[in-house]
Amino acid sequence: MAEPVSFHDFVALRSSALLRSAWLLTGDWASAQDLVQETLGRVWVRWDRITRRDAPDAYVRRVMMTTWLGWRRRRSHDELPVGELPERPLSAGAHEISELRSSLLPALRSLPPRQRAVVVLRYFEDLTEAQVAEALGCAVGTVKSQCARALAQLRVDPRLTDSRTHP
Amino acid sequence: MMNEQELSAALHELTPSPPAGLDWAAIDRHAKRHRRRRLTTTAAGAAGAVTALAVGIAVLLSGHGDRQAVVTNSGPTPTPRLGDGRLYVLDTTLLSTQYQPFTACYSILTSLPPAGCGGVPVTGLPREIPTAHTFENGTVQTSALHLVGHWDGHVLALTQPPVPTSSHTRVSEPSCGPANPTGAALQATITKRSTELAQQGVPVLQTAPCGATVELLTPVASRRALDILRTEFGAVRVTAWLTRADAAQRTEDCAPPTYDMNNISNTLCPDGRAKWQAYRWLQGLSPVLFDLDESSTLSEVRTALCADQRYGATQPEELQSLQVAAAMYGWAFTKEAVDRNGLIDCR
Repeated sequence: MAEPVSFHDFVALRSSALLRSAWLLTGDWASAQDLVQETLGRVWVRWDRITRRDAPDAYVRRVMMTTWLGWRRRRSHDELPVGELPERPLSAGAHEISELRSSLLPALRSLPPRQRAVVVLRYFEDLTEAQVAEALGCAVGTVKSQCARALAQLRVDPRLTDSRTHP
Repeated sequence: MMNEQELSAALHELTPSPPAGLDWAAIDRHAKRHRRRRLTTTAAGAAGAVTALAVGIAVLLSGHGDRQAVVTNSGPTPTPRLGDGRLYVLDTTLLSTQYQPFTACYSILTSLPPAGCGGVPVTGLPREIPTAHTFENGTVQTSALHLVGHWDGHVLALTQPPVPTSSHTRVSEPSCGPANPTGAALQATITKRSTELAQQGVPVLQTAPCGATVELLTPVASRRALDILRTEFGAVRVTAWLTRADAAQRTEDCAPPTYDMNNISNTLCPDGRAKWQAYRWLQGLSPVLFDLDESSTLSEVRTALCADQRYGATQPEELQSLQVAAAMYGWAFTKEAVDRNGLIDCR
């Protein structure tokens, strides 16, 4: 059995990846950081037990998905319409992907939460259908059907269609 | 048509690098909350472990080593999440010492190297902080930086890299008159309860005597903060240190308004725009009114004026707020918002 990974090491190694996935789920860095922070806060209190398993990563991912879907159900973390300046991207020189970002991210956010989670886990984190099912606590068949529906919606989303016809 | 490979590639291309650093204080708070839930069922001990977590993981701060670190909340009360989704701006110096994470400084202890500063913790700093100077003992201090971020009641989480600026955010200092014994006693009470207030998301950065009451400075004069402060301490005068990003754009720093004891006048610039300092002084008095925007109706403005009066704003203060808010939001119905005697009628 592998040496149990410390919480410190896990956060140092995985927080960046978790933040990226959280950003795709939530759509902004502030909420992404909130999501990851809450996830880490939840898993830390039972870290000893988690690290007795072989794959703390999968457990943490599942907690993050459960937390996010819980937010969505409670609607307490919904996007708030505000009149202030939008957040600016932190990375400079990202003009070449701005069109893609401006079209794909809204399209992604238009998906129902569970479908969005499936897309992020399957196509961003490159998990297998079985791993996605484990992360979301559902059957593999559910992952397949949710994935198919999400792809079908993205394929007909006019924002993506338009952005792809104007290089 | 988008296939699976294209989608995967697009998602990876789309996702930018995350900003440096997580807010360890927030992780600490979440851990506390969940531990408390578990303790109710397991009756287990280990009460101090969560604080130990925050201290222990200080070394892990991504981005800049062990600096952007830990605010340990040793109190037993879970700290609430108070973010309002707004962006705030602040021009000030950052400081980090062996014992203090990066802090946007309101006031700095003037030893050299500085021993610390009062202000608000900052997260989301980039790996390279502009103008940062490291002293021999490891203390890091910057020149004035323009900070933009969200305030959650405990930390300022930056949403964009700080950039050097030539100015510091100033706080207007109106004359309240000398303290009387009642005000002095209240000031002492507030000082004693400052830790408790900070845990509730209302850190007090400064107090000053103000006749029979107290003027205090807090990072954001939100309605919630005012509710807490005025419920606990009566009609205290509250000013905010952080400025809403949109308000900074809608005001102008042309010349100071005129302060006369507890009143303010001369609140507009010659071009009709609202004076920035007037807004800063009035926002803590009329939080409901300044929460409105360009699309607000006459009815909403009347309701807000009366709500602010219930918070403790006086007629003259609220009329000045109305003038400033109208200039900021372009309202054309200020005359209709008051009665024919020029007063706010809340009957």
